[in-house]
Amino acid sequence: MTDRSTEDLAQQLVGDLAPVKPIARMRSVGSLVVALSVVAVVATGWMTGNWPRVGEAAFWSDPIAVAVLLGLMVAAAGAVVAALASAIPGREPLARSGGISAGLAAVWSIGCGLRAAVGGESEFAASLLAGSASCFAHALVLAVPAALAVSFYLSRGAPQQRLIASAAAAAGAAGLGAVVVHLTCSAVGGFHLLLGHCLTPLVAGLLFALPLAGLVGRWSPSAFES
Amino acid sequence: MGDEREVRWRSWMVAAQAGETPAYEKLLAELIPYLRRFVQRRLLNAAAAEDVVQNVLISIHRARGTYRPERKFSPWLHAIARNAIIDQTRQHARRSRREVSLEADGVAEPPSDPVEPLGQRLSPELEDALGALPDSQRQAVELIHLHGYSIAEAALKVGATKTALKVRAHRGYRAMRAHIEALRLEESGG
Repeated sequence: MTDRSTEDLAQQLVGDLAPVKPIARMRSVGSLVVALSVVAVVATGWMTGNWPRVGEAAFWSDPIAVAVLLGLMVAAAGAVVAALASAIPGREPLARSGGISAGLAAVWSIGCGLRAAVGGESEFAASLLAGSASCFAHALVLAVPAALAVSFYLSRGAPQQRLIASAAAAAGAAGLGAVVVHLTCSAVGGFHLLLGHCLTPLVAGLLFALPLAGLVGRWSPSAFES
Repeated sequence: MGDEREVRWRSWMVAAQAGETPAYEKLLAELIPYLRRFVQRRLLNAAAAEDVVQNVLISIHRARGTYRPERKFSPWLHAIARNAIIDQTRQHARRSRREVSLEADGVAEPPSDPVEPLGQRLSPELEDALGALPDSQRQAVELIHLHGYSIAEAALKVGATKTALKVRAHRGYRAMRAHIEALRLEESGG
């Protein structure tokens, strides 16, 4: 217990008051994240010549490829929503819903990848790992702008669990990258699908939660101006 | 929460975001008794409840930019209060598991009555150890253990985060302990 009254503290806070700009709407930041991802796709497509195969009939005729695409899309969107909502007190139910959707969708896409891996070729060569690592790295490059935008939003907000929010930000941004990679990559094979595409959001969430949490802390404005 | 009160608090909060101190003053004045009831219904320890209310006020102040004017005020307020209660419960559980008494480490623990300034009652040994600390650590130890400020209040006073202040204080205790042990070793001719 303290020797200073709560009313004194309130007076101190009133004295410390400075104007603040209300945090941006989640919807605006969500749109910004999508726009940044599109810019990243165009930039890497222009530099590497790899463009999404959205118009190819071969892609849409493969049910597992389509199922993985759906799973990755829901996982990415759910994780981004979870991260953004966790920045705002009172939006915890939305954060939870986003997190649950992302988790279920990640399980779904990993399950599809596993099914393709088990039912597909049995060869597990070093070249397969290299190809998967390349897709993973490509997804991460595409994820950078979205990850930075969500982290900046988190730094302006008040996430109760900064590490978990950062993990969701990393998973969501990497999920967006994985969606593009999945649409771009022409490699076939169940193991590649699993390692290079389906596991990307999960692995990125685990690997980059801590660095992003550090970034969020570093970007947070000083709590008290005085 | 009544609709009228909801509207009133929302408009005061919006005004506070624009930097209008009278509106903020009115808002906090109305929030304090409301938060006391809210917290006391959820916490048995009345002393801890007052600490939580203070932490909620500080959290409101720090997170005031996260309130969106088009949304209801009460879910935002309740979420902050609930988070503060959860923090308090976790801290209490951690403290009861891990807290190491300063006395057990050879450092006199400050008496529980925080009203009387303790600085005048420090032993020369403690004063010496305290004086040897870097300014930031000495300030943290003094505010929390000599002047009876809560972590949140002390953090507010020095313009640091609660975590940073706890780290400074912890480093200060360790340095004081090492200093006292070294003094005793010297005295015993070791």
